[in-house]
Amino acid sequence: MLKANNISLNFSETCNISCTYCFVPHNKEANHLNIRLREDILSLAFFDRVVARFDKQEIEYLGLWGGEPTLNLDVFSTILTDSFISDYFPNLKNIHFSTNLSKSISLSNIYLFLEAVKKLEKPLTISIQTSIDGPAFLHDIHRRGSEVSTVLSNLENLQGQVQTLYPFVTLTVKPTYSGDEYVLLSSNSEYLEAVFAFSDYLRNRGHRYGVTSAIPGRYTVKDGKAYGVFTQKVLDRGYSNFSEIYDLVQKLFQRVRDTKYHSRRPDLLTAFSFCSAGNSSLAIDNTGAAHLCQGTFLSMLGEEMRIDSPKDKLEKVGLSFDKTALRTAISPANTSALEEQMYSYVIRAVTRTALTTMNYTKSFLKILAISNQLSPIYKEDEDMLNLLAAIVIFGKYCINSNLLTTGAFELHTGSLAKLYGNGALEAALSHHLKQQHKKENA
Amino acid sequence: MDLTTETFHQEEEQWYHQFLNIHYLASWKKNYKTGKEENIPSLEFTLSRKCNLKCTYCYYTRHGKELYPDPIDRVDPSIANCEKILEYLTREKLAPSRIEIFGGEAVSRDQYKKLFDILYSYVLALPTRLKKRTSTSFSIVFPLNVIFLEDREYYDLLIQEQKKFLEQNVVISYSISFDGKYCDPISRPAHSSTFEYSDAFYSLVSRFCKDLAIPAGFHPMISRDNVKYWKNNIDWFFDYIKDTYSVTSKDVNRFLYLLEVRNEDWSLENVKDFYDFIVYIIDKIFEDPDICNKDPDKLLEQIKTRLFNLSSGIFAYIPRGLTCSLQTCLYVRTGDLSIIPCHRLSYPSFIAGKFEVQEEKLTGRVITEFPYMHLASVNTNFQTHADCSSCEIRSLCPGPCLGANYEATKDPFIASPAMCRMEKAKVFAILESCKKYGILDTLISHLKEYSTGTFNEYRRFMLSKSMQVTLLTQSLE
Repeated sequence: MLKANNISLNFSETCNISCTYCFVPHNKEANHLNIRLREDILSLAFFDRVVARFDKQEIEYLGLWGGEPTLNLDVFSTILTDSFISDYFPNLKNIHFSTNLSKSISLSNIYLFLEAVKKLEKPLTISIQTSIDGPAFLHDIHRRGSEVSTVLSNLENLQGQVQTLYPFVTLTVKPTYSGDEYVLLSSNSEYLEAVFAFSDYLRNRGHRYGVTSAIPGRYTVKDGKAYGVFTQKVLDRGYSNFSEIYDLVQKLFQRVRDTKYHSRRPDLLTAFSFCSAGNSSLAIDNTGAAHLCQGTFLSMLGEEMRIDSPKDKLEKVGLSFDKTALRTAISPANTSALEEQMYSYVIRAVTRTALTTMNYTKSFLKILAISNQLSPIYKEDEDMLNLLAAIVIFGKYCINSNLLTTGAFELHTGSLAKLYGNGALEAALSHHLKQQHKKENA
Repeated sequence: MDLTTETFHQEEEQWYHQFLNIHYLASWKKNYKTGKEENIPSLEFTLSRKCNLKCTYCYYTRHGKELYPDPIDRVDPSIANCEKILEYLTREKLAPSRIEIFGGEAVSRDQYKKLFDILYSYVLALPTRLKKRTSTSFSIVFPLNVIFLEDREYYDLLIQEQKKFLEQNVVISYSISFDGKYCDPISRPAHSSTFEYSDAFYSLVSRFCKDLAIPAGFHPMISRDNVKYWKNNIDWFFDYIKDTYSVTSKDVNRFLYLLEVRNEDWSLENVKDFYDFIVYIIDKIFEDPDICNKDPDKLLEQIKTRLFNLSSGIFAYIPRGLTCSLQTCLYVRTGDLSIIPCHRLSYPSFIAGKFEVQEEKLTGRVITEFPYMHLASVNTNFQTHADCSSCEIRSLCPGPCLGANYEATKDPFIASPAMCRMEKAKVFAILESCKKYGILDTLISHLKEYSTGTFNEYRRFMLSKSMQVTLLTQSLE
C-alpha cells in the first residue's frame, strides 16, 4: 500500500470553460465519463479505490482536480459526513481545489460543500484557489467561456460568506499568463497600468495576484523580449508579484545559500522544484491507478507516470530489479514487494533525471544562443548559461508537460528558456543583486 | 536557410537547422573540400523493415509497425528517396565519412541494382581526393544476411558491384549477419519454409567471401535464445573464418565482431550462460598456440584490441556519450525522408523532422516534428542517465542502447535492469579472467591511459573486494 501525505484526486472529467493554454481535452466523451464519476462518488466506489491504493492513515491533504472540480461538489456534499471522514480519511486536515468560479453552479456547489464541512465534528481547513487572469482584455480572451466581471462578483460573494460563516476557508487567486499577455503589456503602458490597478484591487481585498507563466507554452523570442521589458517595468514599479522569474531567482539563491547544494546534485531537483509530484504528493485516477501527478490523468501518454503499470511492464522492469537497485531506491515502507519495486522505479526515474536534463538543457541553450534565440550574453558567459539552465530545469520543471510535448519527461521544448533568456533573467538578477546590496548596506 | 522566425515552430526549425549544420553538414562540407577531415559523421539510410528473416531478437520483428509504419515501408519509393538525398549531397558538395545501407532486407536483385547505380552516380561525382580505396576513407557499408546468395544473379551482382566501385577507389564493405551454425536455426528463422540453414549454405557464403575483392566481416548476435549454444558456436566460427580466409586463429579477431543483443528479456539463467561463454572464449584464446600460447601478456593485448568487440566498452574513450554510432551518424528513414535519432528510436514522438521535397528534389529545408530526442541523444552522456550515474560499472560499460531502453522502460534514458545485469556479467567475466591469469593490475595501469579523469574511480572499483562478482552472484541467488 502506498503512503502519501497529499493525494490528488481526479474529481471531475469535464470543465465548463475552455482555456487556450489548458492541457485537459474537451470532448463529448468527457461528459459521459463525468456522469459515471458522479455515480462513483455517490456510491463511495470512488473513495474505495483510493483507500485500496493508499494508506488512509497517512493522508492529511486532499487535492481535488479536474476539469472543474466544483461541478461534482454537490454530490460530494451529500456523502461528506463524520462517518465518511473516519472511514476514509481519519487524519485529514485539509481539502484544496482550484476553481474557475465562472458560473453560479460553482458557487452554489461550493456553498453546499462548505455547509457539509461546517457540520463535521472534526475541523478541516479548506483552501480554494480562483483562477483569474486579470482585466477582461486578458481574462476573457484566454479563459474562453469565462467573464472576469462574473468571477469577481462570485469571488466577492464567496469572500463575504467566508468571512461571516466559514472561517476555516482560505482564498487565493491565481493568474496565468501566456506569451500574448507579455507582448501586450510590455508595449502598452495603459494596459500595464490597468493590470497594476487590478492587482491593487485584489490586494486591497486580501488576495495576492502572483502571476504564473503557462507551461509548457510555445514562447517565441518575441515573447521573451517582451517578457524582458515587462519584467524590468514591473520590478521598477515595485510590482514584483508580476515577475515569476524574479521569484525563481530569489528561490534559487536562497536554496543555494541555505543548503550549500551543488548544482550538479540531482536532489536539487526535488529541493527546489515547484512541483511536489512523487515527493510529498501522489495522485490517483478514476480507474484506481496511482500516478505521480494529476497531469497524466487525462493524457494518452503518461504511462511512465503511472505507478500501476500493465503487467508486462512490471515484468520488464519491476520484477527484474536487482537487490542493489532496490536498496538504493527511494521507497515507502510497508508496501508490497511488487508495488515497492514499481513505485521506486518511477520515483527514481523522475528524481534522478536531473543530470540527464541538465546535460540536455545546456546543449540546447547553446544551440539556441548560437541561433540568436537568446540574448547574446548566453553566448559569451558560461555562468549565465548555467544559471538560465538551472532556472529552466529546477524552477519550473513539469515532467508531465515535457512528456506531452517532447515524448520524454527529461526533455523540454526550450520554450521557457526563450521566455526567460531574452532579457527577463538579466533584469531579475540585476534587481535581485541591487536589493541584496541595499540590504547589506542597511 | 534563412527562416523568418515569428512562430514557435519557425524558431524550432531555425535552431534545428543550426544543430544539423553544426553536427553534420559543416563537417561534410569541409570534408568534401579537403578530403582530409577526421571524425566526420556518417550517413545511414534505413531503407525498409521488410526482411526475409524473422530473427527472434529483432526490434523490427517486435516493434516494426511503430518504428517503420506500413504505409511508408515500400522499397521502391524508399530507394527513390535515397537518390534524392544523394543528389542533394552532390549539389551541396557534402561528403559524409561513409554511407550505410540499413534494413530490413527485402530488397530484390533489381532493387539492389538500382541502389548500386544511384550510389555509383554519387561516387562518380565525388572528388578524387575523397576516394582512397580504404574502408576508413569514404566507403559504403552493406550489412547482408546472405539468404539471397543462392540466387546466382544476386551473388554475381554483389561481387561485380564491389569490383566496380573499387575501380573508382571506393570500398564497399559487406558485413555478414548470421549467427553461426549452432545458433542460426534458433535465433534467425526465415520466413520461407523452403530455406534451411545447412552445410551447403555456409559453404556458399564462404565461397562468396572468397570471391570478394574486399573481405567481408561477420557480426553475429548473442541473444538470450542462442547464448547457451555459443561455446560450440565460437569454435565453429574460428574454424569457419580460418577456412574461408586461409588465416590462423590470430586473425579471427579481424573478421569477427560479436554483439550482445540488448533486449530486456535476459533471464538470470541467460546471464549466467553469457558469463560462462565469455570466460570460455578468454580461456580458449589463452590456450590457443596461435593467439596467446598461454602468455598472459598476449592475453592482455587481445583484451586491449577489443576481444571480438567484447571488451570495447572497457577501453572506450572517456568521457563518453554513447558508445554506439548514434552520435556520429545521421539517420534517415528513407521511406518518408524522416530524420530520426536512430533506427531503433524512430517512434512517432521522436521523429525529428522531414526533408522538404519540391519538384522531386530536396530543398535543404527540414520541416521539424519533434527534434528534441535527436538533440538530446546526440548530446547525451550515458553516465548522466538516471541509473547509470550511480552504477558501479559505469566507467567500464559500453553504455545503453536508447532504443532498447525505451522498449523496456518507455524512457530512452532509463535502462532496464535486465540489460544492466547482462552488461555487468560481461564486465565481471572479463575482469575475473584477468585476475585468474594475473593481469588485472597491468590492465588497471593500462586503463589509466584511457581514463585520466576517472582513474581513481577505476582503482577503487577494480581493487575493491566487493568487485569480485559478488553483485552478480547475489543477483543469481
